[in-house]
Amino acid sequence: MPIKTVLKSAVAALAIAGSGSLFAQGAPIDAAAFDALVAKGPVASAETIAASPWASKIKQAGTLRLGGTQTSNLFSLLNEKDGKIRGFDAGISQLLARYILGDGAKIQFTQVNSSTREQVLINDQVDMVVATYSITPARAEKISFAGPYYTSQAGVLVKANNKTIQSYNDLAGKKVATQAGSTGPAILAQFAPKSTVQEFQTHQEALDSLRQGRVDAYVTDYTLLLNTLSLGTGDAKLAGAPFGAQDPYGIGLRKGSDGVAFVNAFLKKIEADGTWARLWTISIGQRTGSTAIPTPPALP
Amino acid sequence: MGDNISRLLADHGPAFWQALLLTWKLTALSFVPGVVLGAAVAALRLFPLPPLRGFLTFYVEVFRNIPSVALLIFIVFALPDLEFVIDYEPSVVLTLILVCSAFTADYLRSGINTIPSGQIEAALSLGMRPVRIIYSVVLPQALRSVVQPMTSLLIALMLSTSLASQVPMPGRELTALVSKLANDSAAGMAAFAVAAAMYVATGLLIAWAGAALDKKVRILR
Repeated sequence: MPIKTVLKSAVAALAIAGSGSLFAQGAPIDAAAFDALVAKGPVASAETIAASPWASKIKQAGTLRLGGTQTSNLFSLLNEKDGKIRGFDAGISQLLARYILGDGAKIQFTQVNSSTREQVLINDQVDMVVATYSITPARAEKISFAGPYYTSQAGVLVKANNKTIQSYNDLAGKKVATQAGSTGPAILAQFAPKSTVQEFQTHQEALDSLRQGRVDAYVTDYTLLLNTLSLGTGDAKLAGAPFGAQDPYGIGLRKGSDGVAFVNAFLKKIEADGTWARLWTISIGQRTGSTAIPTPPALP
Repeated sequence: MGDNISRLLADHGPAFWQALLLTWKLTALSFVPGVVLGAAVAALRLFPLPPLRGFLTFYVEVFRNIPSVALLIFIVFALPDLEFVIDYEPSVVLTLILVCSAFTADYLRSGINTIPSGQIEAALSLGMRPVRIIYSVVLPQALRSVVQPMTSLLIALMLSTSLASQVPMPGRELTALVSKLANDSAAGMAAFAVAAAMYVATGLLIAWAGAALDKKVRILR
């Protein structure tokens, strides 16, 4: 069998399949503003770093070893063109790299997922994990969390012509998509126990299944849904207000690490000087049409 | 690690057992039709009809050379855009059947090649029809000589059921269960270790059964 023929027909089939992609990714990030913000971030004094063994070790190594993701639209998305990762989480880690090392680019990146996040910290393969990492008691047994630096709430996305689902209260008996490895399944178990939950690996797959009618609704981070709607394709809408508990995102560190105090001090600093609010505006606010900057979650 | 595993088994032992059963079920559901389909493809490839041969060669090469996870994602997320929706579990089984049949057809072809052409000539001279020759002379001998590669294929197929974790199937097979436990209770590596032990045990069981079958049916030349 000539391989060329096989490849050609595969490409043709994919082209047909790909042409159906509507509600694609929402408004992209303003890369220039993001890079400028990181470049202007605060830098810690030598004494501050010397006071923390965790930060001193990173300073000595010359790079911050980060565990993160590359496919989270608002929080950490790899731009294939310039090879840089941007988003709210990416901003926090790059600002921290600048705070310790003076340069936000001095990051050695390791891709993690919800199965590996604890283990890379336990094995000391990374210095920290910033990956929309919800602070839960089970996780806090194995690792330590700095933060929270962000809180999320869930929202419900339905097709624009759906009149039966007005909020999460109407999900009983419906097929509902959510993302595997997020807090979505737990939230649904609590707030819509009679729904049939389908856990997708990625945001895009969940969106596709909603568009294709395999599911009736998609429940995930409310801001992510706002972003999906930001380009205004008009075939989906939000059903009701954000719901569920405030889900706090933390920065994962090795169990008992003194980095917790150091990172919390850093977070207080960027929250006080307005960097946090500007990062929120660039990576979330501007891309979701929200202008009300939230108050950062209280730090311990 | 040992503590973690025993705690994990105490908390989630039944879930692991269910997941193992689902893994076995998916394996069986895809292996049996896959072998039947593969044998049919191999047999049909023997007929001297160029368009049919061309089509079957195309079929075998396509499904042997596509990564199964890509094939599954295509079936689940691309086919619905062509107005063709298959539920998740049948999608997984279909993916594995297609892959299994392509490999079976290829292994059987090498099994068929071990049959001396004198046998076919002898059968023809006895007045047997080509269809009869295929099912009573060629296939029985070919099947006997491919027990070992088919054992390996069955093990590979059993391990490939893990790709069910990539789609939102209602039930959880071993790999999907591991992801779930890793996320809910931060039980990452211990959960992987238990699942790996179950995969290995299943593989050894298949290998042992394959060796026993091979000993019984092989043709010593």
